[in-house]
Amino acid sequence: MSAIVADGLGKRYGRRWALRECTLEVPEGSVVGLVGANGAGKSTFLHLAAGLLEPSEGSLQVLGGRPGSDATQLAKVGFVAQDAPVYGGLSVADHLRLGARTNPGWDEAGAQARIRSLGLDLRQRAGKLSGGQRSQLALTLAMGKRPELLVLDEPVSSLDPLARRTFLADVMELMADHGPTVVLSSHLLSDVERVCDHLIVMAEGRVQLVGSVDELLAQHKLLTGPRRDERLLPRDQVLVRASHTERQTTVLVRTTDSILDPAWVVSDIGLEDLVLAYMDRRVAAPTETPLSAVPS
Amino acid sequence: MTWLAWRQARAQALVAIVATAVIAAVLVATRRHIAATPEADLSTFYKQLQLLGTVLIGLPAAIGAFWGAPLLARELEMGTHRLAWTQGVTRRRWLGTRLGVLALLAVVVTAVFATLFTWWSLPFDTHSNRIGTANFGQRGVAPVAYALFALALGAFVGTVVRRTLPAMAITAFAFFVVRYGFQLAVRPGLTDTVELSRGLALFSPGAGDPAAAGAWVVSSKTVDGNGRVIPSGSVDRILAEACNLTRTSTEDAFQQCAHRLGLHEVVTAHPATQFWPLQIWESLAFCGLGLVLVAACFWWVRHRTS
Repeated sequence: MSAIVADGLGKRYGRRWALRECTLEVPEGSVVGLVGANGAGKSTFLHLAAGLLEPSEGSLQVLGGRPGSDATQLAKVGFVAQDAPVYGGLSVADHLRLGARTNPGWDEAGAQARIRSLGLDLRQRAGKLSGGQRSQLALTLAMGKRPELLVLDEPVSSLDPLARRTFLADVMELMADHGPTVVLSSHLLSDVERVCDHLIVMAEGRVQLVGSVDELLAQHKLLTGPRRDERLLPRDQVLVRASHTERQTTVLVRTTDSILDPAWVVSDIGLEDLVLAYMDRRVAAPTETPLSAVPS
Repeated sequence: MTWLAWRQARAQALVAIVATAVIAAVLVATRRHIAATPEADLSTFYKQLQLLGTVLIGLPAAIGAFWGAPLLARELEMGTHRLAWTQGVTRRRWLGTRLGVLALLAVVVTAVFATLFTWWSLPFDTHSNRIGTANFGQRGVAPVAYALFALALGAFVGTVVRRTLPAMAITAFAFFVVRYGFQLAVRPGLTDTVELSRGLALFSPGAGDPAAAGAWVVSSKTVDGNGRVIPSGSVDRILAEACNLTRTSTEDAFQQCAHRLGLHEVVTAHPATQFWPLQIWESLAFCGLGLVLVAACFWWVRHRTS
């Protein structure tokens, strides 16, 4: 069962496409990291999933329904927007009440306990909270509705390193307790790699890579050998990136088979290098670039 | 959802209720003195009449600018719409409840103020008129309709403009444009007019037919004894030539001359009895405009805003 199914999904603002040809599935119960540079289309995708935006083309199913279509659908998805917006004039207690009054499955005891463990004063106005506290309040609100899908848009980008760590540790803890599907975005892989078991890499409004972290790591190999044309790879090896020095060629390939060519020295690749390789990829596939044009 | 709508309107509600209570107290307390004042001395209260009337004219614009415009503009500006619209409540219900609470407040405030003020100014109105453009918008039920229209206008402008301060300014400006544009172009045609004749308005207007004094004169023309229309610019010349009058002649001399020649004014007017029909049509029109704006607001929030 998939929590999110996108098929040819696209979103256009005026004449600019923020997201195009997005086809992917997010398995239920997974923790998905959505990684990409600023402006890669991450926020657009998450806003579509939360029902805040309508697709311009393609289709999107979230938990079997159209996002934001009715109150039941809205109640199933918890969303924390970028910079964790809260009402500055309302107190922490008011926010809990807001959650309780607008969500049928509200977990009052859980929300109260979380606020207590965070050390937040219920009478404090939300406008006076620090960035980290605000994020935590917004997360408490999103978790309090006991969502089946939790969507977090850049939840840690505005936080200092310590608050980042605390926040992500909290997300992991919540996962253990309730087990909703979680999708969180970041422009930094380091934020998500400790918590996520699935990965979506986006660049320039398109999905570059999607899959489970373990599978992706197992399928990608770094091959190093004497200089050669990277176009001469076996069919089952999909070239991701190639680089050449005067005598050596290094290619990153995706394959499910073993590497048979004895000329290659095969090594595994770390998640960070893997993600960077896909984030760097331009829309024009590198396999079509002639060898001489590749910078060494 | 109702709780959230009330919570977010609490500060406005408090200000509105206190202000309404103060104004109501002032109106009730001073009304007795006015009722006891002989007609000739009523002018001592004109300052208060004008001040309160001006406040009542400005009130709908303030409701539009301070309640309507920030309703969505502030959420969109601060990003809190992303919090509000991802709770277990549809945007339609969210907007409906929030608009409903503010509309209720607006109706209470303006209805109390306008009703008390209409009653308070009765002693003045029996000696002048309340259907004319100067007073019409400060009496009866029209202020309530203006307020509802302004609220809807503010909400719509805020949704489209997405910035609180510009939305407030545009709302106040647009409200007055529509309000006075309507008064100028539409209101005269809301009910049928009658033709009344009265003496020439040579020095002081409105002399002659008492029915015309209480009426709202939409247009007037000068007519001679044979029913021919005289261009307004040539009336003085005709009188001067016919009766040898000069600039120093008295008004009486002019009037006698006009009477002898059969010159009089024929005015197109809404008589005083049409005050309530006009009020009701005007109010329905503004409520209708408000509903159109509310519908546009719902559509925009659903399809154009994120």
